[in-house]
Amino acid sequence: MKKFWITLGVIALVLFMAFGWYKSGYNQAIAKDEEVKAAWAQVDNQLQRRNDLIPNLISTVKGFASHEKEIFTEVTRLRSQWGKSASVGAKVENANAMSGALSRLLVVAENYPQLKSNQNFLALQSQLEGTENRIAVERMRYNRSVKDFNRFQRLFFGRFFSSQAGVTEPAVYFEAVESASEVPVVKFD
Amino acid sequence: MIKKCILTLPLVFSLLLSSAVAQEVKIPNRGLGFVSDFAKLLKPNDKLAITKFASELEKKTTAQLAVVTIQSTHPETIQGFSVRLFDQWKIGQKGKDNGALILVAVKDRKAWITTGYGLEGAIPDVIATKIVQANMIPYFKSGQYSQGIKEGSVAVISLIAKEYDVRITGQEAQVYQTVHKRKSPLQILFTILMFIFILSSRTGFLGYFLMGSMLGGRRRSGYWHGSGVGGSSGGFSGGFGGFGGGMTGGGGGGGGW
Repeated sequence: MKKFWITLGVIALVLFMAFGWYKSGYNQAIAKDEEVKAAWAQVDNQLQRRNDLIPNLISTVKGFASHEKEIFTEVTRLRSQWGKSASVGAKVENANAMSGALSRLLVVAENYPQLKSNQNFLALQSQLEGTENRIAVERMRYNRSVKDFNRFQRLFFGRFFSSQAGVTEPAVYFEAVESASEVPVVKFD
Repeated sequence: MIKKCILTLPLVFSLLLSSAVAQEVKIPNRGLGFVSDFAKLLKPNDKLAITKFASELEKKTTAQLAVVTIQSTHPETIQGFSVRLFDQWKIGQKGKDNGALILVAVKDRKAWITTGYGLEGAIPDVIATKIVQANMIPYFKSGQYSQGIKEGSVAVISLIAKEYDVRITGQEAQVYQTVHKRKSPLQILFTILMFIFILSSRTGFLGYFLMGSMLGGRRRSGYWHGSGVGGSSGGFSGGFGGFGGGMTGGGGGGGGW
């Protein structure tokens, strides 16, 4: 009889420990996944902010360089595409393409001295620069959380726990294209 | 013993690796106070004044200002370095993110103001840029780093104070006020010396020298107690209790000269 109780006790203890282990693993997966999502929301915010600057930027540049149609259509196309891209991967791709297009737009602007000294343009350019700075910061934080989550997912039990938490895919990095970091060089000296 | 060695091996390797990879300028673990003058650009009285302002600001608003001078941020941009430093020190209060950082990289001839998330409204990028351009760089151009940094700090502090709707009365005036109330001959002497200092600081080196000897004298006579000058490491701490866990989103602005 005594033996029976001991066995039962051991079984209960093992079950209890297993439950605790499962719970902590599950919660960890949830927490890391949420962190990635929160970090992405910040990136998304800043990218949206950049896109909000674009109509103004285009109309300002158009006033001085109306025949540079190609670049305007591309930027406009990318901006409308942004609204349609739902997944993180698609948005990253769109954002990188936009960074390239914007840097080309600013290079074009270099050829128009009147535009370069236009107050409106200067203000927009510095706002763009501020936004790029913020994108860089949020991108760095996002990638850090992605790294953390993906590492967890590749652990021995990580995949199990994250699939339990409803995430089967690894999170997507936001790799910046080289030109992205060059976009808003605003020199003041 | 062997086991211990084996256990520490990866650690040693990773340390070696990280030191080989990281070419960036190392950031000290924590600030020396509100003012961390690593490049030794600040005159003692300006440093004291900024510290006074900053500590009063923190007391009244919980917002924190860090003023940091270094030689160079190379190969990073000053903006990137500022964010890294901000992240590491966590200037401002947790949740409020009401920190601001003024960084001067004297060898790069660049200055940058970084704002925490919570101060982006009080100090928009344009204004941050303007402060650096208009309040700091003109002084830097003529080598008056101390004055420029002080002007910039005052501008930032007053903007934050305005946001929180408080008045920063601090000023050097208040610092000297504590001395004023005592009405001793030493005080009169101090005032005279101060005058000489101010006058001569425009013309040359003498004032700086005088200032140094005065500080020494005061410390010995214990004249300055109450406001807390002390310690060999750099004097008045302004009741600095460490930075509070604030974050930045990379807002701010600056320029070069």
